[in-house]
Amino acid sequence: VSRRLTAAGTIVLAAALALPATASAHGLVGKQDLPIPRWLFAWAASLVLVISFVGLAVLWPKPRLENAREKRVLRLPAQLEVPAGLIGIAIFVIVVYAGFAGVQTSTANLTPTVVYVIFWVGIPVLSCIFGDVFRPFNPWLAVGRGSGWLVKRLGAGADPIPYPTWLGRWPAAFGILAFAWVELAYTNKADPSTLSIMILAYAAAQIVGMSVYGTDAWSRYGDAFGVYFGLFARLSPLHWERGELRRRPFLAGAPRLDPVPGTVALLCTMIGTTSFDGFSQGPLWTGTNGLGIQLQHRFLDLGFNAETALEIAFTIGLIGVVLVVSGIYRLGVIGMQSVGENHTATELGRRFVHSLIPIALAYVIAHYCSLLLYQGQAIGYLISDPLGNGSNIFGTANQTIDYSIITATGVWYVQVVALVLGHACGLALAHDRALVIYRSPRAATRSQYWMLVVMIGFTSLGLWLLSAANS
Amino acid sequence: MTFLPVAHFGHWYVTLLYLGPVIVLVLALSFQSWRDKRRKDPEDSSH
Repeated sequence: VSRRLTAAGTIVLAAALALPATASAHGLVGKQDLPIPRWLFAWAASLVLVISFVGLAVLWPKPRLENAREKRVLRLPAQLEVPAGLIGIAIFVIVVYAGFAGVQTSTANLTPTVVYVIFWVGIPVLSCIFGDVFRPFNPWLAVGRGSGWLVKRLGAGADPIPYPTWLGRWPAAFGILAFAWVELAYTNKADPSTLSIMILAYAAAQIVGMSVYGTDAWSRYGDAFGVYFGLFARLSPLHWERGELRRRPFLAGAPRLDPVPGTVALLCTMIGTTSFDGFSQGPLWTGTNGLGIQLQHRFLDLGFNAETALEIAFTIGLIGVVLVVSGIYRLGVIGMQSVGENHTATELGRRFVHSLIPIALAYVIAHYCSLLLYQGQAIGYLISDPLGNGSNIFGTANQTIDYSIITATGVWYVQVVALVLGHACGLALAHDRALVIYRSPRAATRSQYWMLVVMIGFTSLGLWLLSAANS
Repeated sequence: MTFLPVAHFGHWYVTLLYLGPVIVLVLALSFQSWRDKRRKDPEDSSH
């Protein structure tokens, strides 16, 4: 097993490195001034992870997060659900309306910034601090609950079908992959009216899903964004549930993740799509003889127009990187299996999948922090002029983006710290779970050797992608 | 004519340095696993 694993690992990692090259620095301004070469950060980060691993093995002999208790902080009136839902619906309507009625310039219209910066990047960051802040304001959930309440009162409608076990989080995995495709491969991605159409189509699909399977089951497993933000919220020390705000140890929500089918695919998609965003901006993809350029030429030769050839090439790259990330995780799991005790790879893959949540968050922060810090400021003037037609509703339409808020060097340090912390948290979660699954702490530690390789592999991959984007 | 991305080694060899920590760890673990196996073998044959 060990030999096969080493060979397979070498192939996957070689593929990963042959593909990649970079990642991204959305809107990064200025030049980085670093005291050591960037690749040395990968070695330093790896050393930190090895030390963390040893620390966990020595100082963490019993599970601490698996059955961590929650304490109620305050009780919230159930009536708050209605105004929160209405606020969510109002924001939804404004964003969709701006997309249709506003100027069709992505930087001057509210819709693209709200979707790609505030919604896609801002909410995950807020969720890991404050818990699942999206759920109370989720507009399609509010509509689903409202219509469900109305149907019940009228005594009409049929009971929802039980949510199929086999479906699990697969709808969410495909939903996130589809959004990433729009963001990274679709050539018309920034067109405000097209975005509004897609937002409406997504909301309609959610309402259909909720009407078939019930609001609660669908929103917990099928609603791609609800599930996506909910995963990050599991890292938060705050837990909003059934009209209560509870507090718990940091990370303690992650082990409670029910590893239904599609959960591994969802997390690998989350990490893989972010990785591809970086990769697709680097020289190995965009260079003269880069992989992306070559693929585009191939499809141009086959008779596709330039736009379609570009989209096909990016689609192949996106799926390829997701598969590479899945392969790296699978290797770690196969390595764990070699410890014995008759656990299957599929079982281990599901039981350790929650350890990927902080890594997915680390990739989001590392990859998009400059986008959030710079482009996120645009919301200041866009709320005053959401249509881009010169209005000044709140008097902030003349605000500008302050690019001195953080230097390029500062962004690099944020990225490195995010990646190291994210992977250290992943190691802690995996170690804690191993202590429950394996009979002795020694076997648990041994099982995590290959997970350590996976974590260091993801860290190096992340830093490599980022450094290539910044070069 | 197409070129593989490996054509300009000089442009991207630095990226191999990022793979270093993974290689070192894989080698160390493989060596440890080989040593464990070697230790076990004589014990097995003595029974």
